Amino acid sequence: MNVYLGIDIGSVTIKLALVDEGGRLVDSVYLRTQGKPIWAIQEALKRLQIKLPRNGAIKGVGTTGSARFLAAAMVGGDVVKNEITSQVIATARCVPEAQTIVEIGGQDSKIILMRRGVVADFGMNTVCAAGTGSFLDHQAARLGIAIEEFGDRALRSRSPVRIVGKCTVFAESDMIQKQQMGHRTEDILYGLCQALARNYLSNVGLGKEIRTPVVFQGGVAFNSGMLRAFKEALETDEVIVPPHPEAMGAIGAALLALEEMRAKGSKTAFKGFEVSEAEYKTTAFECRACPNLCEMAQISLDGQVIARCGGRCDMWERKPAAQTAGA
Amino acid sequence: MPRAKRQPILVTVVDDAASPKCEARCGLDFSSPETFKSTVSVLRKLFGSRVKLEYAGLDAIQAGPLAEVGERLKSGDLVLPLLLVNGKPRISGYFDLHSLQEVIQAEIEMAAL
Repeated sequence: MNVYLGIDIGSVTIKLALVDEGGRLVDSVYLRTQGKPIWAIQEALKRLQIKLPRNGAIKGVGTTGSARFLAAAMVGGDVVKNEITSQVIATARCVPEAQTIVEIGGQDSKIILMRRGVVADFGMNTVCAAGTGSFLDHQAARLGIAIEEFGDRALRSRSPVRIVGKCTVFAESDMIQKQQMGHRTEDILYGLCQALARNYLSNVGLGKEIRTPVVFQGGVAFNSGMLRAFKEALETDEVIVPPHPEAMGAIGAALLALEEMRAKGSKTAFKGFEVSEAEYKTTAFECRACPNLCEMAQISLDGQVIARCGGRCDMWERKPAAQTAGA
Repeated sequence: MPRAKRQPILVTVVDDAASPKCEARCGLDFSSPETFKSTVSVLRKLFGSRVKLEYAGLDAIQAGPLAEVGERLKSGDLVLPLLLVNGKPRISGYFDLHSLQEVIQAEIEMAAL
């Protein structure tokens, strides 16, 4: 059975998806990176190998997410694409009637407007938005609640509190004050969901013509409290969460790999599951290409540099073989 | 027949240098010439001549092709700083280098879809 692998690796989580020749999802893996992208890629591959169908053979690999170049270098990627592209491809396949894609990930958010199956507009979040998955994770931890319980507890709210502040710092201050005032945890949790939905619409969604049906995806879409909050904020019930909301980027990357390999007709660059046992060495150097002076990580295997990452821009990710002394 | 020359992607940052900035100082401050210059340099290394970065003050967009954007800023439909790509708003508010390059990369890939 020929399958195509999609890898979506971000700052907080990694998702792998396998699709078959018909573009149907075969299986997926979801894992927190814990700030260790190399370990996460290897561990996710190990878990995927267990799930690989009998006689399954990976015929193409697509990568996306903030560490897409690292993943492609480690695993052998055939196509490397931005998350917006991957999300669009997956949604067009899974929910073809979608008019708006609301995507909230670990550390960024996006909005994509589709009209007649084509991208008409898109936008991304600002740096000051208290509107991403990491913010919810952090607040759940602070309240002593498992993130998996967040949504169900939020739905038990009777009188949600209003939490103000677009900036993560100000929103947290407001939450702490609400706790000190003795508000129920459920009311604070749902208030937080409402604040996040509000911030999203006034930040990422600002100036965008949102039409239904809206597809809500990204890891945050698992949160039933967030789903209700968006339905209320948008004043519509036509907010759909696809069957695998967290894996849509990976599914899109896999579909892009399928398309690419069909078009090229060549052999995949996939290096095999042995990658999960490889011993990578990481060293550091300072990039002097601009005043940011980013500290870069350099990843080597058997004495060969295979990837560089860690800067504020993708310059080194895109050309790992370049010299390290300046740029 | 010679291939038509591809137009560069025009990235416009609209901001008001005189307006107060957020205390937290997150994101890039393009009203600073040094920030603008270093960003131009980084974008050139990333995208070559495919991308052109320009800065526009609030006064500069009251007339001309960005006048509609100016109206939307006045009505509160959009806020500063504003990142436009080929005249279309992509990020309304403070953004950093990572977001800037992701938006540009998305624009390049959308054109090919």
